Amino acid sequence: MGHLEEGLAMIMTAILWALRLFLGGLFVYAGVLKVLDPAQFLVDIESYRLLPYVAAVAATFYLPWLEILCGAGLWNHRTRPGALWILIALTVVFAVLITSAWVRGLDISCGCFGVSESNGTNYVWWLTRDILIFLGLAVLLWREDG
Amino acid sequence: MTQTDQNTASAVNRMRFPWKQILLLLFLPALLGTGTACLHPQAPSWSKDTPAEGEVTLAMVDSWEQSPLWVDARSRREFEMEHVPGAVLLTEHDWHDQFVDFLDRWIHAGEPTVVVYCGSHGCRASHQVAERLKEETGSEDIYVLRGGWDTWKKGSP
Repeated sequence: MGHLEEGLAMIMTAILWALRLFLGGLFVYAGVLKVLDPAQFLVDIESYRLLPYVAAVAATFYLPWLEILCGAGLWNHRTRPGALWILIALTVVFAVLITSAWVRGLDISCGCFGVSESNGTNYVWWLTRDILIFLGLAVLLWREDG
Repeated sequence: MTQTDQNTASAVNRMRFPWKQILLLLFLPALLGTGTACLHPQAPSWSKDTPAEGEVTLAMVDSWEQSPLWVDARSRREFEMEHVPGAVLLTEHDWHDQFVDFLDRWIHAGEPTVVVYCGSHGCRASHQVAERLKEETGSEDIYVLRGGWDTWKKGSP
C-alpha cells in the first residue's frame, strides 16, 4: 500500500474512532439525564400523545438504559454491531415520531397544540439533527468489520 | 489459515447478523429499568391519578378551604373559547404582558395558592409556567393540575 493510501486509511480510522466516541458519548449522556429525571422524561414522552399512560411509564424506565447501554456498546467491538442496529432503529423511530407530531400540529416543546401561539418546536432542526445522527451511525455500520 | 480463508471468514463475520448482541442489549435495559422503577426516589407513579411532585388532583383542590388562583397556560384562542372561571391567562409566549396582570390579581387576592393547568396529561406548558412563577414570585405554593383542562372538564358540573 502506498504512502497516500496509508495516510488515507489512518485518517479514516481516526474519523471512525472519533465518530464512535462522539456518538457513544451522546447517547450515554442523553440516557443518563433521563435516568436522573424520569418524571421530566415521562412528560416528554406524553407530549407526543401517542402511548397509553402505562406504556409511557414503562418507556420512561426502559429507554434511557437502552440508550446508555447501546451508546457504551459503540465503544467495544464485541457489542458494536448490535448497538449500531438498535441505535439506527431508534433514530428512525424518533424521526417518525417527530414527523407525526409535526403533521398533527403538535408543539412537543410544551406538549400542546397551537404552534402559532407559542415559540413552537423547531421541527426542521430536530429532524436535521436526527438525520445527521442516523448518517453517522450508518457510516459506522457500513465500516464495521464485524 | 491462508489469506483467502481469512478474507472469507471476515466476509462471513460481516454478513452475520448480531442477533445475540441485539437480544442482550434489548434485555438488559429491562432489568436496569425495573431497578430504576423500584429505587428511584422520583420515579413516576404507574397510576395516572397519582400526582407527581408539584402536582395536585382536582379532588385535592376541591378539598381545600380556600379556592386557588387558577392560571391557564394554554393558548389565548383556547382560553377565550373556555377556561376555569376566574382563571388568569399566563403563557411563556406572552409572559411579560400577562405576568403583570397575574401579579395584580394574585396580590389583591392575598397571595393564595396558585394552580396552573394546560391542555391535558401530555402538556408540559403548565409545568414550565409553574416553575417560572416559583422563580419570579418566590412562592412555593404553586402547583400543576394533574391532567390539565381535560380533567377539569370531566370533573366540573
